[in-house]
Amino acid sequence: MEKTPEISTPEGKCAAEAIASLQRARKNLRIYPKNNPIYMRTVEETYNKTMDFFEFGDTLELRIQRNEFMLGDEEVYNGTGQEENFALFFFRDGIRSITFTSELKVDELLKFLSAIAVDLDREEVEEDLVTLLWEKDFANIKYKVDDSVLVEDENFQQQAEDKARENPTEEGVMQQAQEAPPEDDDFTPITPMPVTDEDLEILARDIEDYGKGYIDKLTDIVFDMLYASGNIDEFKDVVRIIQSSVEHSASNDDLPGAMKIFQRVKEVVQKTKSENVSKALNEVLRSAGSGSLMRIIGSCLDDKDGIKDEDFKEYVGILSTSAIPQMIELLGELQTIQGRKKAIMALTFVGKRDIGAVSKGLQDKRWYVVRNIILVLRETKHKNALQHIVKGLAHEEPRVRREAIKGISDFGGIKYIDRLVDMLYDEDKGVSIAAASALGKLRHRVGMEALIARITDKNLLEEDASLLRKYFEALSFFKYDDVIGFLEDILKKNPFFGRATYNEMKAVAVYCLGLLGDQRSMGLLEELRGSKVKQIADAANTAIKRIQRAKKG
Amino acid sequence: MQKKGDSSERVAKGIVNQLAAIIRTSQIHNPQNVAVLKSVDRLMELLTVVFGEESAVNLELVGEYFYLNESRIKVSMDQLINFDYLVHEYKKLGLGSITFGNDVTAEDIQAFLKAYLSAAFTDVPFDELAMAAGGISSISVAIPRVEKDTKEETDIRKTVKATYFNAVSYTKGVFEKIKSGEKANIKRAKRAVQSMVDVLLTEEELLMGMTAIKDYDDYTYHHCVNVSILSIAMGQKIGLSKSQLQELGMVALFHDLGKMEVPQEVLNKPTSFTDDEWKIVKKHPMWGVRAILNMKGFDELSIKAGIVAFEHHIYRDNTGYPDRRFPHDLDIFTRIVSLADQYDGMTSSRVYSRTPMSPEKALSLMMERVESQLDPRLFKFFVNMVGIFPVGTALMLKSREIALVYGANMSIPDRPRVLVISDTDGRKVQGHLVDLAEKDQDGTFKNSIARTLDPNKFKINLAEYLL
Repeated sequence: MEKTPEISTPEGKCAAEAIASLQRARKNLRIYPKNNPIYMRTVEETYNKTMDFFEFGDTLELRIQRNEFMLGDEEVYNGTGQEENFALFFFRDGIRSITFTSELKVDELLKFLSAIAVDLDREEVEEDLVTLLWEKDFANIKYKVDDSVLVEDENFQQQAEDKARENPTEEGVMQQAQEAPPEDDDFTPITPMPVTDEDLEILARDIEDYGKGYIDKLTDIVFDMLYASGNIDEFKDVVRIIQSSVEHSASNDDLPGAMKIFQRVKEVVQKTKSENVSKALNEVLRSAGSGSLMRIIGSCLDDKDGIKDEDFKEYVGILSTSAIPQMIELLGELQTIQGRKKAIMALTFVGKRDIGAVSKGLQDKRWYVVRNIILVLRETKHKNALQHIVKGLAHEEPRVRREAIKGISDFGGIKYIDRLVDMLYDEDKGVSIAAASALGKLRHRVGMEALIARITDKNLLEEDASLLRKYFEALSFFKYDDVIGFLEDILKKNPFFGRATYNEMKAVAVYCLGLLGDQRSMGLLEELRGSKVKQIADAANTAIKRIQRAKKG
Repeated sequence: MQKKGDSSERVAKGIVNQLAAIIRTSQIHNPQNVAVLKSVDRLMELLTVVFGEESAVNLELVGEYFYLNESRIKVSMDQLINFDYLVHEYKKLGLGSITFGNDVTAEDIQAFLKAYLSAAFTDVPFDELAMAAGGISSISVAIPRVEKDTKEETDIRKTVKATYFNAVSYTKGVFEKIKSGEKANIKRAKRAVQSMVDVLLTEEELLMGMTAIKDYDDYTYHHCVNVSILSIAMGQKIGLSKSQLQELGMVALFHDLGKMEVPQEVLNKPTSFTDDEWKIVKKHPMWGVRAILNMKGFDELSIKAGIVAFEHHIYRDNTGYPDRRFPHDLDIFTRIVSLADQYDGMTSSRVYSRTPMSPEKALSLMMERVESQLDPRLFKFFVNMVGIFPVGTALMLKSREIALVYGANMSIPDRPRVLVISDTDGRKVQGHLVDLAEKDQDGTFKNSIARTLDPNKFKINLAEYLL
């Protein structure tokens, strides 16, 4: 059951308000980020509430009991039965009083609030409230601590003292000492040693340098330990340390550090004749592609300045094909274009060695991962890649289908020309255009015929005339008389209905003749230059110029 | 706000620097010399900054530290010489504090300097200074604050002992927990080290006294704590920040963690080690790295602690152990811990070296090893810290009384504060403190050191007096 203390004095009430404000601040600082107005307002209000107390004196000293804050003899807070017992929060770590002095500054209070806002119950937190407050080194906040809460063995001190006093100095010993002749010791008593400016300078430099390159140093040490391992258990322990060193380097954005470790592991693997050593160390090398390391690398890749190209290339160089699943996962998690570009580059490099492993990424539920996997398969230029790329044609996302079409085109996949012809009729315009372009690049008669069929589809003009230009562009890849004949047929026709739309088709056909660049078309084009339809006349003019330019060289 | 705090710290340091410079320069030149006058002007500027918020500036020496209006001034490396110089001057004159009122002028400071210089060469310098400076209303001097009363002294002693034994108990717990595969509590290590740092700031002599007692059980645990205390004390002397002291204390505390893997029958062997046993003992630095990293996981502190654990038996000339294929320079923290480790090891009755050395003999031996094994610069600080007669050194005084060194005297190193434990006839007495720097009215020292004694030879139990 909650208890509310009865506070009778004005200073007691003021202290109680300050405590309530501190407790509120603890909660708010946990919830809101630093730039949030509530965060800033909370700090300001808590500061003001604390400063209000100094109307009653220069110090606000709060004694802390298990459930209470006491101001002098007056109870100003009682946490019994409360969801969060604020007194107990301090008490459990041994804090028995806190004193704020009137010189308190806002930033000092903020440091205090930040310390009490830390979630100390999390397992990974290596602090308690006392260690946190100590590190802040406050000038105007003092606290008294009872360290006995930490004592695990209450009898330890007494036993140690008893043991130390076990053999008291015997009577008569002092007289023996007085009478004993001077020791004939062979040592020279030391004399005071003045410290010079140079000593100070050098030490100051050493202190400044302390800690620099500590991971490199650990690496040296760990490899010393590796060579000194007396048995396989020791060896495996050291290998585990090496593994953790790599992860520590990477998590501190020190990829070069991690690389140095891998390089050294590689050297040992190359030199060793022991299968066990080689096996254990190869595990380390394989860990370069572990999920945890990959995630760390990923956060570096997303950071614009996170990773240097040469460092990343070196990293990729040691990855084995077992890293491919993690790399695919990474590809899906990266947030930035530059990050994804690097990951694609890496996956292409490693994936060449195991196309099957890369192709597993085609089953990913995220369409953008599938598209990038197809891109990777394209970039590998591996002969086995095409059979996997083709699977992308059936993907529900048009951007994936487009990427697959481009892949088939890159690989000159005549084998799949029928599939490309089908894609000409895809409901997505982009896919259809990509298919047309791919057919053009393949330059196969089947493709030409499919394109002509698609262009002459009477519905096309009504569906989307803008597609025409792309289809004709694709058609221009076929330097066949059939194509010229087809175009001339179009140009000679004069339909009565839908003339305006048909003129559009004619203009594009003229444009296509220009692209084909066949001298034999010049006569027809000259003729069309005089067309009353401006669109056609202009197109003919451009086509003529293009053919003339091509002829010149 | 932080900037304000930083600047007031800078001003405080500046005041110590300038005051030291003024006294030093005026001892060489005349107080009217241009260099002195310039320094006086600079001091005036700094005092004026403080007068903006305070009505007076009180510069007090407590122990080895200066306090400006009761706030401790942190010593930084670049100002160490001036700080030490001013500490020495205060002690030489028996000064506790100098207070400048906000009406002080440059002329007042010059007049004070004159009084200071003439008083410094008398037998009763503080009285002379107080009298000569009496006419300067804006500057006053005071003797050191009265020693703590008995109850306070007892409470402090209790706190110091609790701090020490708490750290030892924790260390023992860590060893035992790791051995039994449990997780050690790092929060407690931090608490223990932070307490040691705090106690060392105010009660250095008492805590150092605890390290001088070598009759405890469980040598390894006491040794770890002693090395941590000695290292922190060294760190303070070379101007490390509070957080650096914490880090140094932590890495020192864990430097011998690898010993837990050395079989007890080897570690407790009363005779010298065989070659095979040495081989095992020499592995403890490597085992230490493994134990620390397993205990704490990988973070900056555990790696640094691992480095110190690995390096603490490697010497400057690359000898020592473990053997290294990939040698690198030794960290400054390693070099500090090595000094503390050697000193504590030599002066302890370690199981595998039953005969402990007297502290001054240990220092002498370390001196011989300086060039090859230890950092000569840090060794200077170490010697100046523990004193040429370190705490726990047994002495025979010229009065024939037997005494134990209780605290070093930085200004007059061969005149430490001692605890007299026998009368002139060799009868045991309840220890009482005597400052060997104390003089008679005629200006001669009241007592002096006749020679050092080996407390182990005479079986003088230090715990009886220092605990």
